[in-house]
Amino acid sequence: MRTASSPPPPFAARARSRRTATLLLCAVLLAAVLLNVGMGDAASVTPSLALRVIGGHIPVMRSYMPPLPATLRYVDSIVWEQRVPRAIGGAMVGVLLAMAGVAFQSLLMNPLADPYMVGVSSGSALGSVVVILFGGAGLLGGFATTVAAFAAGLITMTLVYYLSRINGRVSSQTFLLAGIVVGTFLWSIIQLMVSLAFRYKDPGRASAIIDQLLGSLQFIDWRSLALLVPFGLVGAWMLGTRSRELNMMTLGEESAAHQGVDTERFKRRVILAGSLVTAAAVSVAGIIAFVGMVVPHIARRLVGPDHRAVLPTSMLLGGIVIVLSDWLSRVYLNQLQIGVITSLVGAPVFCYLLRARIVTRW
Amino acid sequence: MRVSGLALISLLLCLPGCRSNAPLVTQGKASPPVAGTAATSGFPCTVIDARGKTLTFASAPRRIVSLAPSETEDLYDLGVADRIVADTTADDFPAAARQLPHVTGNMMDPSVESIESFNPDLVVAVGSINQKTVAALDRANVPTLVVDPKTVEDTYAALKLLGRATGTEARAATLTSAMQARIGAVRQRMARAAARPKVLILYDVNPIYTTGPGSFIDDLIQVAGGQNIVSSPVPGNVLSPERVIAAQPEVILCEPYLRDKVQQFPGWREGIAAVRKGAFFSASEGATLVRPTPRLANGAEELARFLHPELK
Repeated sequence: MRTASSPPPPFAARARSRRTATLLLCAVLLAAVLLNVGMGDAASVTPSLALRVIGGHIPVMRSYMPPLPATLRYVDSIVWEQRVPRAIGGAMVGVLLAMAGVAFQSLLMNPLADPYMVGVSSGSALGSVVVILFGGAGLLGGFATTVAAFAAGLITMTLVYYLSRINGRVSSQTFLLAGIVVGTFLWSIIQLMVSLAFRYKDPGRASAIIDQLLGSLQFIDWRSLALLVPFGLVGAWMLGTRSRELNMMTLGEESAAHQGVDTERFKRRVILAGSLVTAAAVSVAGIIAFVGMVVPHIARRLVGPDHRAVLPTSMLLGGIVIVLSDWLSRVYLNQLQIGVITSLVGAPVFCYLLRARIVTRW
Repeated sequence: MRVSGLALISLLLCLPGCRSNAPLVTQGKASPPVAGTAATSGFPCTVIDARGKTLTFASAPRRIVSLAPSETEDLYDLGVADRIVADTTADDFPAAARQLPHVTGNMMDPSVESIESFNPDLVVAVGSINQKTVAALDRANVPTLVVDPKTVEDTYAALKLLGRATGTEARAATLTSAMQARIGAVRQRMARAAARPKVLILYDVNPIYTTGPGSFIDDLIQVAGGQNIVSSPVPGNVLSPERVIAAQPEVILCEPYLRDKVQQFPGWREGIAAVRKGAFFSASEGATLVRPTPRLANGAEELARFLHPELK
């Protein structure tokens, strides 16, 4: 990595500026979460009231918090049961999608790759649809659809992986093609199921399926975080500890092999990590477009191509993008689907990056 | 883009019955028949439908295609079911309506070709649902009668219009006055209610669809001694989860299949006593609050009993 044409700044200086950028993004993410928790369209819940509720749930601060007004008993449910888990969960979903985007783009050496392109999302969606259609949605404390979505996402990824493995090797192009084919096929099965559910006069199930497929953060509660946080940590660990290999892979598989990377093993690891985090995000929030594809490009623009910087920057940016989009949706855009906002904002940003020739320079 | 295509499908598929999610505007009542057609079953007859179009029938229509569950039900109530040659896959009341031949496509987007293949001499359509279909039928010169029942008053007007067009005016008048009398009786009894419980109308949870003033369901909640938590029109009829909590509804009016979703909605159990206690209301099979038909009177009576068991 020291052979770049322009003389790189000294390592210590780069590390320092990276740290500053990371801290800055952390601060922005925190601010975005607070903004999302403080604002909403229930006018009676003012930002100061929201902060008071949060303080009341933090053991050390509890005794210093004035009690809530008796007429507004529901404030606690709005802030602590809805806004707080939704903001944190939204941030986690963004973190996971961006992480998966970085992983798949580097692995497939394709700037267009996004977590949904490789079949995981269709598989997850189908998993939840099957549970809704054939019963059992009420099992596991109402969490059966989420668990099924997660499991089906991983099964799909295994299928795609073995489809694209030829003579013990997985070529990235075959992998991408297999992912697209399997994803499209599963998606058509979903559409068939929706239309059958409607034909056989089951609007309840048809609407439950559609709830599952349209990306939304409004069903995130504290239990959702129990799924998102562990997979966020596992994914970050699996990818974060392999930043060096990710760097080598972007220069080409052969050169990575020459430098001593066990490329097949490494690809398995990245595919597994990317699928785990995508499946977790999709099973909780449905399909939210564009974040996983665009955010890594913005991150590369900000901090350069080194994955030690790209990965954490993308994760934080992903969280910021989702939380701010959700904030726009909740406060100003009358609950507009969040996927619509991320696409509306994401597509022009991507076009700009394309024109600025950043996409090709990654 | 896949996702937006899906959103469209969802809009097409998940609107059961005649629920209207469009902003609700009360329309003018259908106009009376043009002079010279006063006789109850006198044909030829001329009527002006809900969009102001004049239709002339040389004789009573004998091949009717109905494009909405509510209008199919009205035709059954008018006693002309034997003249319906086709309805849509969504038409499920009375049970016999399910056995009729269906036009292909779903209720929101029926196939015009299929409608024409039944060679109808009258197609009954609902303005707010069938707009595109009606335009296509007009181009094909298929006689299409448009009704657009949004309020309870509109429901009476639609029934009378159908009666006139099918030569069953007397029957339509009987049905309408019976409805008026029963709904009026409920209103009178419930006027004595000490409190008016706050009602949440819920059609779906993603997003949270409801209906505001100017709709028959809102009319009937007032008749039955309750009040809609939505007191002024909301854009797109979409509510945010926290506004539902802040409004503190005391009764939730939704289809039974939504109850689980409501109880699992983040924060609703904790924040809304009605959700905790399971204060859900849905009309029985023989009644309705979501279809503009004579069954609305049953719906009003059932809801009144639910909201005010103390007022017999």
